[in-house]
Amino acid sequence: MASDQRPTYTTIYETVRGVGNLLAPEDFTYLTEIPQDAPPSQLVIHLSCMAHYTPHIPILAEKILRKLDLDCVIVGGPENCCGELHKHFNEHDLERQLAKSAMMGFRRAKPRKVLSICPDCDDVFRSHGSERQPYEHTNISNLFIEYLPALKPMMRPLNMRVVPHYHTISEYRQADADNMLAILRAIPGLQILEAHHALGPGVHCQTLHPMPAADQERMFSEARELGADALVVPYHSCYRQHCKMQLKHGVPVHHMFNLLAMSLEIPFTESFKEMRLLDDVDLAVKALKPRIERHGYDESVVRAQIARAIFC
Amino acid sequence: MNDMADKWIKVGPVAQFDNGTHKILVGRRFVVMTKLKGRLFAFDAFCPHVQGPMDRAEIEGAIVSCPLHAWRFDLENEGKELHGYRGIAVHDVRINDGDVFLALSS
Repeated sequence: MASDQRPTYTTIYETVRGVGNLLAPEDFTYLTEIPQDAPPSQLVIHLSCMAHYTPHIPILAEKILRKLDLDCVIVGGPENCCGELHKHFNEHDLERQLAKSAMMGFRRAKPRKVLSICPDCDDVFRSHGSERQPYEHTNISNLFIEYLPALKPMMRPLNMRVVPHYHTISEYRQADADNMLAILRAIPGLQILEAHHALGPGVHCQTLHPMPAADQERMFSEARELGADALVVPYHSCYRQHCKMQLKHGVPVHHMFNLLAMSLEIPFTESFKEMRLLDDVDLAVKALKPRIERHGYDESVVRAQIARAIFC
Repeated sequence: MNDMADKWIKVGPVAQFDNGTHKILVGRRFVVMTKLKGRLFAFDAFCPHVQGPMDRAEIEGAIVSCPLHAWRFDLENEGKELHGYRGIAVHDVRINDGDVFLALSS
């Protein structure tokens, strides 16, 4: 039953749905359920719950895959939650049921690989996977490494100096960090600065266990002193926590796909960042008001959701 | 009471359902009974999406949300799902002489 003491599943998932709809481009589509008779798709991009707040990230992933002539389908919404939320609430039977139902759903596309954007999803799906699983579940950065030789000839020089932010708590996160570095090193003209305070805590930066403010301050101070044009992050959650630091330090935060897209001349807009840099919930609500009205949302409900999702 | 003999199934004394949420087996069907806004409701015990356990639903007024993916069902509106997904079966409830009877919907 619902409790007043903590956010409920419903509160969290409704925020994902509501804010996700407000921040996504009008023409952005994804599947919440793959139809039983769906045509095969060699790749499934799993749009994790919280990645709905940063829609440009899955959109760029799809556009980069299209550039490689790879067919893919984006599957998302709370309907495909990996179960991490329930794991956090110690509802492990529900976590298992969620993970299994999502994985059964992916099978309908008969994919070669299911690609995670989120490291939590990576870990949860891995823990519930089986040897009989007919597809490989992997972080999307592994696929970009696989196709880096094909991407390189399409890249245009990027004259930027960047500090990579990373996580190394497990072999999987270390692999993601290595992949990000390899991708960045492949971009001509990009200068990777040597920083000493860019290591993030835990699996990823996030609202529940964020990078401590003092560490975050040190990371951005160093990036500014090094003359960085950007701090590059591997995960949507790091992007969400750190975006606001541009206001104080003047160093923009970019997801690694942003730089890849810039180099591949794929245009994009960052709706989350645009709202976050307004630095004011009321201004964000005002900016989103036409879309709030178009969707028929209750503004007071949406305001609380925006505060929770963007200004946490 | 003749029609009650045809389709109505006695599930227990009304006092049994005064508080909380109860998952019961009616015939071969699991049903959740709960009193919301002073009215006793009966609905399928498994979400039509992927069989989420509706006896653990989050409740707001007469809206019950599946604890798996928060599909939200309006029990006062025939179990309609608020996002436009498939609805949940809501069963008719009658109280007669202190006992609760259900008519299972298809």
